[in-house]
Amino acid sequence: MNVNVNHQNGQARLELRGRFDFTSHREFKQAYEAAFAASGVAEVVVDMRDVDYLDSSALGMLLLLRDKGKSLAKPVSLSNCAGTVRDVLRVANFDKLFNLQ
Amino acid sequence: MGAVETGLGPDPAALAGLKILAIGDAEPQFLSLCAHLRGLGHELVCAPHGVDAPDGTAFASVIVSLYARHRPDLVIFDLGQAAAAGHAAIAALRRMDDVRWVPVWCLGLHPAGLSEAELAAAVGAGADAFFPRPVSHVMLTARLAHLGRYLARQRQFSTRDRELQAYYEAAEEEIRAARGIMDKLLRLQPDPSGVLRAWIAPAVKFSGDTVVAERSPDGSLKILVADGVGHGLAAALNVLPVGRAFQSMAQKGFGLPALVSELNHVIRRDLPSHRFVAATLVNIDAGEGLIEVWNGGNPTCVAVDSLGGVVEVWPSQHLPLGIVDSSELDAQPERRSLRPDAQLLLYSDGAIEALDAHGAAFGEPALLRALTGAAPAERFEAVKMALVDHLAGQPAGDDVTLVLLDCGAEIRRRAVPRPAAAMAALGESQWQLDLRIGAARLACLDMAPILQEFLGRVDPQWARDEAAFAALYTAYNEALEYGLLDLDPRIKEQPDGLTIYARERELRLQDLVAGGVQDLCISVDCLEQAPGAGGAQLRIRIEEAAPAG
Repeated sequence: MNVNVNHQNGQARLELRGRFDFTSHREFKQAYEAAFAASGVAEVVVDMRDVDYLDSSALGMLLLLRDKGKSLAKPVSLSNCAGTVRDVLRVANFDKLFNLQ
Repeated sequence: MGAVETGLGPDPAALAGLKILAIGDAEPQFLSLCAHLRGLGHELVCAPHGVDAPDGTAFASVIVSLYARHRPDLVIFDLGQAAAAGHAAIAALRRMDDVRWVPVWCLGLHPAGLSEAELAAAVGAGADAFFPRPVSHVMLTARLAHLGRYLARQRQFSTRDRELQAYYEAAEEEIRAARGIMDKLLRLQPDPSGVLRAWIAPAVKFSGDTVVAERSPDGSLKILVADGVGHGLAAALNVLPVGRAFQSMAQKGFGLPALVSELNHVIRRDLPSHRFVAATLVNIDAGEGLIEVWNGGNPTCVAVDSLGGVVEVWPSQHLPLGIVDSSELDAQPERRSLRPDAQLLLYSDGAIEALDAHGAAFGEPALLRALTGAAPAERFEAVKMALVDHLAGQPAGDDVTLVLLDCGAEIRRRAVPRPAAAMAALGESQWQLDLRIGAARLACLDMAPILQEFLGRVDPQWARDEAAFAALYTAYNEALEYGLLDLDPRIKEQPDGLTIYARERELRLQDLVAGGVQDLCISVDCLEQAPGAGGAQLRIRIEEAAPAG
C-alpha cells in the first residue's frame, strides 16, 4: 500500500492506495504520526478512494488512529468509502466509531 | 598509499590445516608432494591409485569408504596412467550423499597433453581442477590457501544453516504442541444429533476463527462463531480466551446478553488493544421455540427453509467484541421463532473473500447460490465444495469458517423424552430458596446460572438433568412473566410476537422500578409429594418484598 499525505487548511489528508492489510502497518502508522505531528494540523481524513481491499488488521489500524486522534483531541474521519471498503466497514459497524464522509 | 593485499599471505579467517585424501602411486614426485602438504600443516590420508583391496573390494569402493571414514576437505587424485579407474572412483565419490561440496583436484599429464574428450570425461565424473606435472608447489600452496578461506566461509554458513535448522525444528515442535493444546482447549465435540456441522480451514497453521458449541443446563444450544483480527498464531491466541469464557458461561446457563458483555470484557481485559474479535452468538431454545442471534462484525447469518428460500437474515448490527466498553454495547440479541424446517448458515469473512487464481472473490451471491440450490441434507457439503472449487488449490488468504445449524434436528433432539428419575429422588428432601433482590437489578439478572448453581449444591444429579432444570427455569420465567409482570403468552403467537413480547417484558420491568417497587422476593419451594405421586413438586413465587427493616 502507498500513502500520500496532503496538507490543506489544517487538514491532513492520508490518501491510501492499494491493499490495506496487515503488511501496511508500519507505513500507515508512520504516515498518521507524521500527519498529527505536522504543525497546524487540526484534523485527519483518511481517503479510501484508491483502496482495493481492507482486512481486519486494517480495521485495527484505523482504531489505533482513532485513539491517537482522541488523545490529541483532533477528529479523524474516513472519506470516499465505496465498494468492498464500504462493505467491510459496514459489516464491522465502523460507522458507529468514525465519521464516514 | 596503503599496502596491497596479495591474498597469498596467511589469513586468520582461513582454515589452516585441511584434511586431504591423496590418492596416487608411491613414486618420488607424488611422495614429495605429500611431504610438502604435510609441511604446510595439512593432515593427509593416502591411498594407492587403481589398486583393489586385498579382500577383493574394487578400487572405487575402497576410495568411497576412505572418504566416508575420514570426511576430507579435499581430494587430490594423481591420475597417472590409470585415468579410467580414477574417473570411476571420482564418479563414485560424487554419487555419495554429502551436503558439502568437496573439491577433487587431479594431477596428471599437462592439460595440453590431454584430449578434449579425456578432460571432458574427468570433469563429467566430477573433477574440479587439473594440475600439470611436475606440480608447482607455489601454485598448489596458493590454491590451498584460497580453498582454506573458502572452506572457513562455508563452515560459517553451514553453522548458521544448522542453527536455522535447529531453530526451525524447535519452532515446528512448539507449533505442534501449541496446536495440540488449542485443539484440546477449544475442541468442537462431534455432534451425534446432527444439529451442527462446522468446517474451519486455517489460512496458515493456526486459525484465528473458532467455533464453540455448548449446551446450557436447560437444554438450549449456544454457538459462538468468532473471528479474531488477522490470522495465524496471534489471531488464534486472541480467540482462545473468548472461546473458553463462552464455554464456561454457556455451560452455567448464562443467556446471550450476559455472554456478549462478558466476552467483550474478557477481550478488553486480556488482549492487547485493538485485538478485536468479530463474533456471532446463537441460542437455539427448542423448549421455548425460539432462536436468538447476536452478530457483531461477522457476515450476515442466513436461515433457509426446506425449499431453499431465505427466511431470515441476521446482518451484523454491532461492533465486533473488544472495541468499546461493555456498557456501550447493545448486548440484546435478535429473537425469532424457531422454524422446524430452517437451517442457519454462519460463516466468517474469509469464506466470501477467498480469492481464486484470477483474484476474484468467492462472494456472498455464490455462497448463497450453493446453499439454496442444494437439498437440505446436502447443503453443508454443497457450500463447502463450491468454495473448494472456487479456490482450486489456491490458499485462501484468510481463515475460513462455515457452520450449518439444523433447527429441525434440534427440535427432534429436544422431543426425545428424558428420564425424570432425579426429580423423584429429590422428593426425599424438602428445601426452600428465598432470594431478595432489587427490582432494578432483576431486569439485568440472568437467573439461570443462579438456579443451576443452587441446584448443583442441593443435588448434583438434578443439576445435570436437562429436563428437570428446564422445568425449573420455565417455572421461574412463568412466575416472572405471567405472574409478576402479567404478560400475556398469546403475544408470542403473533407475527413477530417474540420480539414484541421481549420488548414488553423489558418495558414492564422498567415500569416496576418506575412505579416505586424496591425489592422483590423470589422463593422456590420444593415440596415432597405423597408416595406414588410421581416425584417432587416445585413452586416458584415472585412478589414484592416487604420494605426492609
